[in-house]
Amino acid sequence: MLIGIGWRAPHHDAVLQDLPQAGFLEVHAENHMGGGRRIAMLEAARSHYPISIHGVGLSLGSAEGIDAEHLERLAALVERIEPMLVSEHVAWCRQGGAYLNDLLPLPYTEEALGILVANIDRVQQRLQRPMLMENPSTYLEFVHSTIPEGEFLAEMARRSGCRLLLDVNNLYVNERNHGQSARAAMASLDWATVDEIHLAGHHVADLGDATILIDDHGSHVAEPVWELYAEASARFPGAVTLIEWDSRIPALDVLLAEAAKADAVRAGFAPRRDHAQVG
Amino acid sequence: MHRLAELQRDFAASLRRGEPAALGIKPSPLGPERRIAIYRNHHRISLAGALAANFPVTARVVGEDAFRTLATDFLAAQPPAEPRLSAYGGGLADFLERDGRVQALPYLVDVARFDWAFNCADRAEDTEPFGPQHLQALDEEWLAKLMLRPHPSLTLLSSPYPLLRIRNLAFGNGDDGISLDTGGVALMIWRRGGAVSCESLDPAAFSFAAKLAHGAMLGEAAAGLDAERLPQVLAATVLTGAFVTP
Repeated sequence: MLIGIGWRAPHHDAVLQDLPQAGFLEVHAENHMGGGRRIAMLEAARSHYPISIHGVGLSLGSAEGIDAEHLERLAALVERIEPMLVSEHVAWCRQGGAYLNDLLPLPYTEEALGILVANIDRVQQRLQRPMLMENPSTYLEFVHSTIPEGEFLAEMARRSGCRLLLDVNNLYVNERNHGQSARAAMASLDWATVDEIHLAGHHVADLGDATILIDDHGSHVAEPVWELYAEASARFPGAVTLIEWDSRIPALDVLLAEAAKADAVRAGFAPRRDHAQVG
Repeated sequence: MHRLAELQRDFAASLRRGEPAALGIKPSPLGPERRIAIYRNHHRISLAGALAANFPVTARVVGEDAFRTLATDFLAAQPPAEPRLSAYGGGLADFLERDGRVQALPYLVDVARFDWAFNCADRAEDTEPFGPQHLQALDEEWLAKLMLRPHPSLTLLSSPYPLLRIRNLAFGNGDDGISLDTGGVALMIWRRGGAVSCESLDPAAFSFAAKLAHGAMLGEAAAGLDAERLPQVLAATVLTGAFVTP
């Protein structure tokens, strides 16, 4: 099975005891920097599963550049764990030396693209490996964005040599929030640059006079996202898939069932709607 | 048109201080202000939540709502400098000490230090501790000159308040009520065998450990201790994995 699951604290003991079938485990980089039980558990897991390290804190879209100390922490973790993949986000989270704890949106401009590519280049030089960059979910757009998201991602990959992590749920969230076409974004990408696909649930927030989708990773993957995933699987056959479930974390067997469903969709056995679990 | 550096400065200011910003957000039925509010709320709620996770006893003592207010003010004064959320809050105890609102809870500053010691112990770098095998290799003369460093996970915390009983009360374990003048604590908090340990030391052992941690040679730190007590004090301090060789 090529489907990975997130490595989250409520499941650590059960995963290490039962060793369920999973393609890989993906961990948040920032939760495993330092010593103690967390890194010890990850080192135990690493002897049973390939590991993917997914960072949230490098702020690759920051005009002020990236934090050298944080890059060193990431490099130390990568050296220690020897992961199969290292990924980060097309976003920024640091300003004036302070960390903002969110994946904040970039305007899709030539200037932002240049800054992003320079920061990715610095990280790849330090890690001596290509990294995967994930398309973001966003709740606003900038009037001065001039490049469609898919083209921005494709050009980033072409200029930096980075690989792509395509979050299908994020594409869907952005389609609903901004009217961007998820399928047009996918069609912009070179099939050979996508190494990983993310699947997650989202929350539909009813604001009275408007609705907005929030990417909270707190439920089952929604039916329209499964449909997009079926297309993405066909379009990007070299990509592995991850089920992300980070809030309202369910029992391990629920997470594994979602991974098995992804495996079936990927293999071309799209689930019948009446059997689908919709969050 | 915004340059990216200016956009990010203004966006960050809008998250932190709620300033309405001319960020060039595309018009839509939802409106720019409600769109930026999604980010602003996440910024405040997620970081206040990270502090509550790092200061569980403090948060229980003051209550959820009051802690959220304190955390929001602390966030404005000292935003996180790096992305490891577990490393956020090192300045909270000092911040509370200067904050007039919590003077009715004089022990709260030490409760925050107690929480922070557990947090640091849990995630400090791994280092091989000094152990009995190292001690056996030393003769008496070298033993007196031995200098050790505290293990990265170690905090020595003394307080005039009964912190362990305050913690138990906060989590509803045992103590029904406590008098604050029942005596303080002298604690050694560190990581032993992967798990965080918290042990009470008697005044002589605490003083010995504190001197050692501040760079005294073992012989200097032990001056004033009864000779027959030394093995017991060593067993409770330097032989617990709480120190490392320099």
